[in-house]
Amino acid sequence: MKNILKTVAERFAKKPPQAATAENAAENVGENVGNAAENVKEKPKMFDVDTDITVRSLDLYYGTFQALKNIDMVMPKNAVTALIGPSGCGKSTLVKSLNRMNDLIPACRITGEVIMGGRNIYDKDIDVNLLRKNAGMVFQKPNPFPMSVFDNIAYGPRTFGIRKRGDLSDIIERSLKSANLWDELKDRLHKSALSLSGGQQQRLCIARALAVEPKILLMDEPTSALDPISTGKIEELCEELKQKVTIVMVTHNMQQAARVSDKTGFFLMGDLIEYGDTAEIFAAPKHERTMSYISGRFG
Amino acid sequence: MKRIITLLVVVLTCAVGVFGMGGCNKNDGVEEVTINFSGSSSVSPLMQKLAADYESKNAGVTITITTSDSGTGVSDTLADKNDVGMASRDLKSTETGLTAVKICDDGIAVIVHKNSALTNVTAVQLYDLYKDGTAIGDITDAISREAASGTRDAFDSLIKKDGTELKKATAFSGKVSEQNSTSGVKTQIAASPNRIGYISLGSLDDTVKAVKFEDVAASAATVKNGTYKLARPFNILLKEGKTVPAAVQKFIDFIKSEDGQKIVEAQGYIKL
Amino acid sequence: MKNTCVEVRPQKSETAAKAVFGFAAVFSVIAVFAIIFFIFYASVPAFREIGVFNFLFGRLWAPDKEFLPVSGRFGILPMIVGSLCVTAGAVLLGGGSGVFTAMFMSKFCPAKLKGVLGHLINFLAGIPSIIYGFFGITILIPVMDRISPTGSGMGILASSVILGVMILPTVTSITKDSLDAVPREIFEGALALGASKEQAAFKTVLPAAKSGVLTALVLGTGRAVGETMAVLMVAGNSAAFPTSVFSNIRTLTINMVLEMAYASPGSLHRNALIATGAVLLVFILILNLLLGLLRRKKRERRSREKPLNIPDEGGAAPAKSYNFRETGTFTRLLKYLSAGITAAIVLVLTAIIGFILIKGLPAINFKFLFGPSGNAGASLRPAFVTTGMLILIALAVALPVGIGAAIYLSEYAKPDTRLVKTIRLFTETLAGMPSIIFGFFGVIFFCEFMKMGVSVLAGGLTLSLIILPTVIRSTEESIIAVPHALREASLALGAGKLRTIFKVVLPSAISGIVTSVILGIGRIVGESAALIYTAGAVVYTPDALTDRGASFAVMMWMFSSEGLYMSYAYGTAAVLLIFVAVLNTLIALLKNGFERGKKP
Repeated sequence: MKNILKTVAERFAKKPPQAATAENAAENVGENVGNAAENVKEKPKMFDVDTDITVRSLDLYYGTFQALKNIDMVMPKNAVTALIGPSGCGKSTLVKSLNRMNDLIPACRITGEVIMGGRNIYDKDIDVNLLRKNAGMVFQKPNPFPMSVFDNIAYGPRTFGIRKRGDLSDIIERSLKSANLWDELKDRLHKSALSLSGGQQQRLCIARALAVEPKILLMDEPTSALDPISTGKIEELCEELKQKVTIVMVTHNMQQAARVSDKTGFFLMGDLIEYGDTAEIFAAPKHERTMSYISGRFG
Repeated sequence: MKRIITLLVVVLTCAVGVFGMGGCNKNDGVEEVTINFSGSSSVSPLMQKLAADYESKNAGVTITITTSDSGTGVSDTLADKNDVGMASRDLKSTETGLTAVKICDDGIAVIVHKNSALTNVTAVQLYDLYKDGTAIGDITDAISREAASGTRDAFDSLIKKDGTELKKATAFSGKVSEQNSTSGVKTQIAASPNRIGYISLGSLDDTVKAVKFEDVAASAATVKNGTYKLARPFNILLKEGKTVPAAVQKFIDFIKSEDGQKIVEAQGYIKL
Repeated sequence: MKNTCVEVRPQKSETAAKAVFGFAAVFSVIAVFAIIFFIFYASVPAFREIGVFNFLFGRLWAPDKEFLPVSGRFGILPMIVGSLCVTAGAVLLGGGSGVFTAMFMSKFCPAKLKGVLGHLINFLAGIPSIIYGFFGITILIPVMDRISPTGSGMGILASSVILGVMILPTVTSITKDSLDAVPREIFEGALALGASKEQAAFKTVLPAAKSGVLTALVLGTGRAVGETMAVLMVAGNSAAFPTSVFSNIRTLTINMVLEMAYASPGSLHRNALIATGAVLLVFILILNLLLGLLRRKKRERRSREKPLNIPDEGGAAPAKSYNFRETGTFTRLLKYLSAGITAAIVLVLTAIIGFILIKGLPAINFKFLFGPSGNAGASLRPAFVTTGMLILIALAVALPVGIGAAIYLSEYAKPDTRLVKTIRLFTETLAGMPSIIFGFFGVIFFCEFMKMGVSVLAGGLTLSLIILPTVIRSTEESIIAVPHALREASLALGAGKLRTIFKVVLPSAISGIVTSVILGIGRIVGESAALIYTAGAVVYTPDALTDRGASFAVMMWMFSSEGLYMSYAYGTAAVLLIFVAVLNTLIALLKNGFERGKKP
């Protein structure tokens, strides 16, 4: 597995990093990655991802099947970008390639670049773990760990060296509040996370992702397994969260995209058919296919 | 599906074929007699040799020997579970209703590792080692046989300190481990120069070294002339009041005959 | 009568069949009760004469010291302590290594290696106890002798190592299964939070599989407590209290097998040995109870209430910033440890196999395998014949009963009723009983109560109980795997339930049945502790079911314990290993064939 990771990374190492000299990267280091300057000098691979996300000429293959075809798009900072399209169009694949979760699939092969903070995240020297910490992910099906609510949220901070009970408690409170879950769960922190309702579990997963203070939140159909009320809560949450983080959300639900997002990209068979401001896409799509999809004629 | 059934058939055929082999080699026309022996594991190697020789000379006779120890030899005989019992010691006063027929004498060799520096032991040294764990030079560990072993019974009664038999000791030292066969003792001794143990003189081979006991080397001659004190008789046991079948009597006669005693001697035991 | 009529008649054969299958299913319950009853019944005299307290807490075991009072010379406390020490050591060594090996196989090793390791672990599981013991005495003990400060390597440590290796396959395979069963989302969820693979594996997947790991450890403990022949050869066997890890000890099982041969029937000594068995049985039953609780707990949600002192400030929490730094050195070390332990296990297995084959293969020739065996010299011929007879008897009983039980459990019984749960509990209890307990039951019930004497028949019947749980489990698994649509198709054509079962369900489940047959044969070929006192230990070829006969493992025990035939012992060991390899290969082939067959 490790070898595959390496080969994937090596393949893209050939391409020079976009506009990113070491000094540049150092300047960009934010307080969320490490607040000590010497930290930065030792690890020049650190860079702040609190920027727009630029996808450039991205091709992605599963074996011989090309799942993404020459994708070019910029997902603006502190905004919600929705990715829509029929099943199998590549939108989930794209969101997974933003935090390199696709690395887990042995047959997956990627060319092109994903640039955050001036660095291509597919560069060989990128620390995937730190990347994933800073680009949090919420999955389609709520996947709380079979531990208590507390331990679930503390998982990330503990992984990144936060051990003090007091610090952890603070983080947990803050994360739960950010996920609008504090009032519901503050008395149940030591109950198993599996005892929560589906909607609560999903918001717990969001809180869990927020606990390590990511700058990007990737959501892969986060509400598809939830009832309308829980869905509404998560949509509200997105509105609030985008003040602090950049959100990329895959959704099957056209209304959701229209309600929540600032930008919308429409995918079909691995192609990005149309990408633009959500208002424009929904009001006056340029492509006929976009039109027929959002008006529900297929998909 | 077909493949699986084929496999099943193959497996079963192999199983029955392989496992079912052998067995049927009865010689017809001769009267079949089986004599069952059971008891002492010290006696049984000798009995096997005697039986093998006898079987080759007397077609139709099968002698089966079930090996355990003298205690079982006694109880099996009393319970009619065998034709003849085997004991590597004299009968105890409590063991009544039996007739013991002595077939030979056997020495008990005290053995150590081939490379051990030890050449001689005294009864007191052995007593102290087994009872209290007092080392004899480099020898720190002792090996005993299991409780019902005739060899152990003989050893424990012959090793005395101030007239007290080792047998009367309530418990052995923790340095004593127990093995329930002659070979177990030999294997243990051959594995470490720190151990001492005892086996039947007839089972002695070059994997281990026998040491002198009270300055007398163990041999058929020293046992016979009574200078080597660690000795005991091999007995076969018959139930009192039970008629001895002719075939059994014939075999016992063979054991005591010139031919039988030759085998006894050849195996390292002391003939009658 | 017209062909289109629907007849009205009671389905007698169907009802009768259900009753027969039901009885087969209840058989294992009866068997467990019979074992418990007979062992306890036979130990009552000992408990009465010696006194329960004196027996359990007596510090001296000296059956031959007839000058001591009865109450003073039958104390099994040293054996209880011995069993506990050795079991703890084995679980620590074997259980720990097993969990790490499972982690390595499940999370860190390449897919191809995983398959190979799986086969190796299965192979390790299939090696008979007697070979482990033999390996222990010939290889491990000389090494231990050198390490030991007393110069004597036999004792707690050596026993723990051997037992550890023996329980490792059980722990590994169950742990691995439960690790594999943890949803992938959990693993990915942790990665998405920035955890390294090692962290995700050790800190999320492993805790998520906790109950499986515990189950594995408890099963391993049961195996360690009940193991007999292997420890017998390396424990030193003196009934004294241990003072160090190199102390000689005697376990409960050793006590049973060591002295049974010369405790005359009806004597207090023998009753005391059976009572030792009863104590062992109590240990095993407690472990089974624990297992049952674990399984139940798995279903209930664990909720522990613990107050947390987080001040509810109401407003926004202070925006303190934290120094997030990458961690994971420890888990990375754990990963290397897992890989190291796995490598060590492969090494041990290779050592065992290599050693046995190098020493054993030269001893194998036609005369050794099939030549005459008797007083003039021994061969393996009696083992072939005896083992063949044992297999036939055991399968003749266990197959119909086991298949019947499996049919009842999967086709007739409503799932999760009390009856089904009870049957499963007892089947598992039966599966968890040590061979020596079966052996004692066989002696008490088949040999004496049923008056079969020490005979191949008694041994075979004893073995049928041992392999019964395997037959039930493996058959049931494959019956359940038969698609429901097939049954419906048959029923829709007007076939009765019985016909459906025999013509549609069982043929589709044949691979499970064959697997159980092979597993059963494997168990029988390697079994020793249960056979020594039921089928006997003689070098003669049995002519009838009522004769004594020794199977391969018993033969090997005789060869190695009589010492006159050391090369024979190696030869038999090699033959046994070859059997294990062949049977394992067959099972693997069967599984592959079956899985391939399932795909279109």
